[in-house]
Amino acid sequence: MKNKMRYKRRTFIYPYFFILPALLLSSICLLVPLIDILSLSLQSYRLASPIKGTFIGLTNYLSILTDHVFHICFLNTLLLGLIGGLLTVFVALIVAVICNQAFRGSGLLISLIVVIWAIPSIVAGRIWKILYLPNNLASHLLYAIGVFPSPTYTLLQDTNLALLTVIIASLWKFSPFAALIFLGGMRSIDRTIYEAAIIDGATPFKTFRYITLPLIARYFNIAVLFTTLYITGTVDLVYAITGGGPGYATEILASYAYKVYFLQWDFGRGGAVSIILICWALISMAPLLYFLYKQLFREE
Amino acid sequence: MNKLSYKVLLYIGVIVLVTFYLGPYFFAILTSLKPEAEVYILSLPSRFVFERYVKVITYYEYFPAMLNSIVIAACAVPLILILASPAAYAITRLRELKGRSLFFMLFLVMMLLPLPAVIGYLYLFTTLIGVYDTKFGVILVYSGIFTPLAVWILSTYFRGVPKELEEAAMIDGASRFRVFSSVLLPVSVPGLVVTAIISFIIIWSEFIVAFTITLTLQSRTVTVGTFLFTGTLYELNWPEVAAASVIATIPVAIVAFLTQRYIVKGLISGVVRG
Repeated sequence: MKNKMRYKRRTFIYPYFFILPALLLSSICLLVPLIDILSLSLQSYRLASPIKGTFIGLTNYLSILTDHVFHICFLNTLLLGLIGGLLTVFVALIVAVICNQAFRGSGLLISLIVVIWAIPSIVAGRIWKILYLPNNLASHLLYAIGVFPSPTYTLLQDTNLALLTVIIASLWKFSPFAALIFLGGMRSIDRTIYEAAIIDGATPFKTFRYITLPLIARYFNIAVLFTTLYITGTVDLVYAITGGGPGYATEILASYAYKVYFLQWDFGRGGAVSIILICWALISMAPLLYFLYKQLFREE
Repeated sequence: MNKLSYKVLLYIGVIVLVTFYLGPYFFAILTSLKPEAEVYILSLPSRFVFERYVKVITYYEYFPAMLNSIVIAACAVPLILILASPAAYAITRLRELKGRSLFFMLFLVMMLLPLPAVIGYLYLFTTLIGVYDTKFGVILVYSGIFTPLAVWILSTYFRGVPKELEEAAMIDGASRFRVFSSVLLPVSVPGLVVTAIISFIIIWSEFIVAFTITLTLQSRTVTVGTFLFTGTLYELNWPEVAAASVIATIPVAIVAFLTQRYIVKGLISGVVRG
């Protein structure tokens, strides 16, 4: 009896030994901060000030929400997330379709997009920045075909269009991942469906329209959500290309949070920006979590 | 539409894609190879200048950062595997684990959380425990923030291992840990390799956290080094920045090219079933 009790207790506890080390370390870095940031955001917490940690309620949030820089950041995050996200996924679909065709070199094309995926965003941002510089090869070329008003014109200095530089670079950097999702989806389609269609005389365009597209439609949402989450949660491209400028024209919530923390050294307001950023991320995360959860626990 | 127009359209598409994806690098490499006087002129270089690459490689701030990144990745990747594989096993196989799906959701939330949101905390945390601006601190934090991704990749992999293997070992009287370490892990080597490669690339590419918790050359990573690099002579020199960016790309591009099959499998296995 006693033995049985001990055995029972052991079977109850031992699964946690498997999961606890990972959960502990990850939580310290990623879950504890959520509570910590929330409490920071309710305090007056300037690192330079001698008095730290007075509870000031929602003052930080009010100060952030009425700040016009925050409005610009929020709008930019929205623009980058929605336009950048949709555009990226649209391009990714085209990439996946082309990679999925049977032709010489399709393997190399896939290698190319995998390499692009692996390039550090900060490095990719620098590479794009060089392309955007005024009086450069690219600006001369675009001037020659009449897109740019002069070869010294640069999108980087154009307050209205500077965000475009980040959107284009995001498109470049994040489309490979979305393309791989679509490509995986296409490869999981049963080959015999295509064979049947070809016997029935379907053209490549028709098989794409009536077989591939409907069968990969369910990956569309996932790709959009993943891409939006990545684009708006990454400051690397903004930092490497524009640094948030000119003015605040390309500042997004994520990059603004860094500035409030480490240029203004105001961890209270920084916390408030972080919490707003997390709320924004949770909105795109919720449906994604649901889908990924279903994938792994489908049979149960 | 006939076969010919399909072929033409396909090849136009391929050319456009290759131009789009390689174009920026083509420009950057060209810029980095041009003589100083021709950098801002629309022309092919009259001669190729390789000095900038030599300058960047021998620059005293560049090599240590590269070395730091290698050390950090070499320590963090095994640590991530050691932490993540039992956790992934428990989530996919141990029915005794109460709240399995809740744990899985927690890991997913952590995997998808935008890192810029937690940098303020990570700065305070690393300062508090005295690991700010140390390689150990970066290793610790990277292991924490990238373990959830590894748990996710591994758990989809473990799902595919037939249960019969473990059941046979259990009947022979092996403990759960024994089953995990002697039966499941050996057959999951490909999955572990996939996870290690993806973790390595993600760690090599990470910027904002390293930028926050490192200060000097003793812990600075290659991405931070690339971001801070503006030229070898304390003046903004874009052709040199181009050379530095090309150099920073090479190791990760080689790894990605050689292991692309694994990467594709690992990235999409959790999203795409089949």
